[in-house]
Amino acid sequence: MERLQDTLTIFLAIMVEATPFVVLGVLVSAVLSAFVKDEWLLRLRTNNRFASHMISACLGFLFPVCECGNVPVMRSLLAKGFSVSQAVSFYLGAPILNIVVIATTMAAFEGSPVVILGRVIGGFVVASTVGIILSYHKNSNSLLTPATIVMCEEDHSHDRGLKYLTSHSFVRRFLTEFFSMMNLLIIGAAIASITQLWIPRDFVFGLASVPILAILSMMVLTVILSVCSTVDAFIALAYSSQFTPGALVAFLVYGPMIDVKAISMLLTTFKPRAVAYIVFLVTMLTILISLIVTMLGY
Amino acid sequence: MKNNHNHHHHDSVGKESQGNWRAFTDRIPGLVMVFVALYLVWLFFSGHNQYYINSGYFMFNFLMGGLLLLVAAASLFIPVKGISLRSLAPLLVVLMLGFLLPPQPLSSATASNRSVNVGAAGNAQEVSPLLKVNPETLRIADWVRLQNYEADYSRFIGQRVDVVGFLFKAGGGAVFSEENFMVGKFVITCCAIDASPLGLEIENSDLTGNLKQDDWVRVKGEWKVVEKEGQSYMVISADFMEIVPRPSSPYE
Repeated sequence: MERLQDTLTIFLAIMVEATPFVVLGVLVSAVLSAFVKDEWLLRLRTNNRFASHMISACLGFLFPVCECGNVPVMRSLLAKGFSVSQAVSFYLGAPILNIVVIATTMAAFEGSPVVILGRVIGGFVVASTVGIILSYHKNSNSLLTPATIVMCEEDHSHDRGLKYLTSHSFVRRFLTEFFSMMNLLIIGAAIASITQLWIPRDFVFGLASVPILAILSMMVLTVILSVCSTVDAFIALAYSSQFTPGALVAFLVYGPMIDVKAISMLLTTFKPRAVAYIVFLVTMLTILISLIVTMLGY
Repeated sequence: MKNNHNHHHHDSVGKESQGNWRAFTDRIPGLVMVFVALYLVWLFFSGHNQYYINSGYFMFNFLMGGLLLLVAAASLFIPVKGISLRSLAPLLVVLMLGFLLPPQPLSSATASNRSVNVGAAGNAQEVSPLLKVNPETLRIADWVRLQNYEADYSRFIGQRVDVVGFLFKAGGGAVFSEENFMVGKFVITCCAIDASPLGLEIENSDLTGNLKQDDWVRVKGEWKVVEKEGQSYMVISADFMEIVPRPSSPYE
């Protein structure tokens, strides 16, 4: 009975802690998307291969979208003339490298800067590296689905990405994003609270004590949970007493980039082979970074 | 003619009520959002916030609840089509759990499933003032800090202790984990998700014979040091234990 009650208390605690950040995230993204002009983005492009992908990875500071909303933004960047590899860097980086996500990660992991830094730096490294590797592809347009190529050719100079803030479009956007984020949060909070109290301590500690197992199990968990990056730090927090910072970094870097929902959305833009390639690169780099964090001794 | 008119009249009423129904269902998502906002605001005013989150977030939650209430209220006037009502079901269930079930702080079930007393070791700045005050005024968290900081426990032997906490059996790491209770409190930094239990061991915790896990008690006694497998442990030798009402703020 106590255990059931504690499961409910932890579940509601995640909901109560995370919901205000969902509200903040949806508000900030709605307001910024109305005010940030697309020409600014085009001005940020450079011809330097390395700089351009690093900048693309950081565009989330202008468009704080979590992974739920960034495939449409990525498509509009492609339509605006961004290269395929730059668009991928944006797609991978934006859900981590933005103000709201960094704020929630700092709130959750106030006492462990290595997790916060690991997430921010790790996200940046993965997002820019995957883009840079893809940029060596000879014909990167061949990675796109035919429908996307048509969209890009048609849409090149139009200013379709710029949305004006009308009260109707604002309310519509707010409600749609709010409910889709909340539903994923509810599933994540339910699983996190149940595993907290119903999986034997010794099993979890056993898993957590082998670094590579800990990293892989956190990556599987984050793919299953698919919790929006705006609030996934609070889910990771549930595992912070058992798992090492390295494994937590794996959860926090991998989750926003790869999950079931994101992959199905990516397939609307990229050919399956290209998606598989992106997933492979992200997986390897995340494992590498998490192992480095683990080996640094934290 | 009259018949015809009646028929026509009936038809338009049907359409109208259908239209009314639409107008209502289009507003249901906004209505659900009103209740989410009210839940956040209610937690703030009822004080139930403190079962879930650190007090540092109370004001933020209240403000975001207020903002959400504004948007939700606006959405009642600007109905949005295309949000499936089925997708609102999970949130409705959560709202019912939150509003209808009595909120409870974490209990011994969580304390036993986590490592006790792993809190960061106290630093000199935090600890040295604690050494100067009357030991009977120190709280559970203060004693845990002192134990983590001081290598030599002998200076505490015989000191009086007087603390309030709940009783639980430690999952591991305690000398008397099987037979005796610890008196403890949770410390939360962000919210109940990261709650880690702090606990002090009681040597003779069956003092009154009728205490059970999760009872909130006031414990008075004297510190003694027990050696086990080459390690020393501080334990309370209790001479007074009494059930007290749960304090209004259950966590440290």
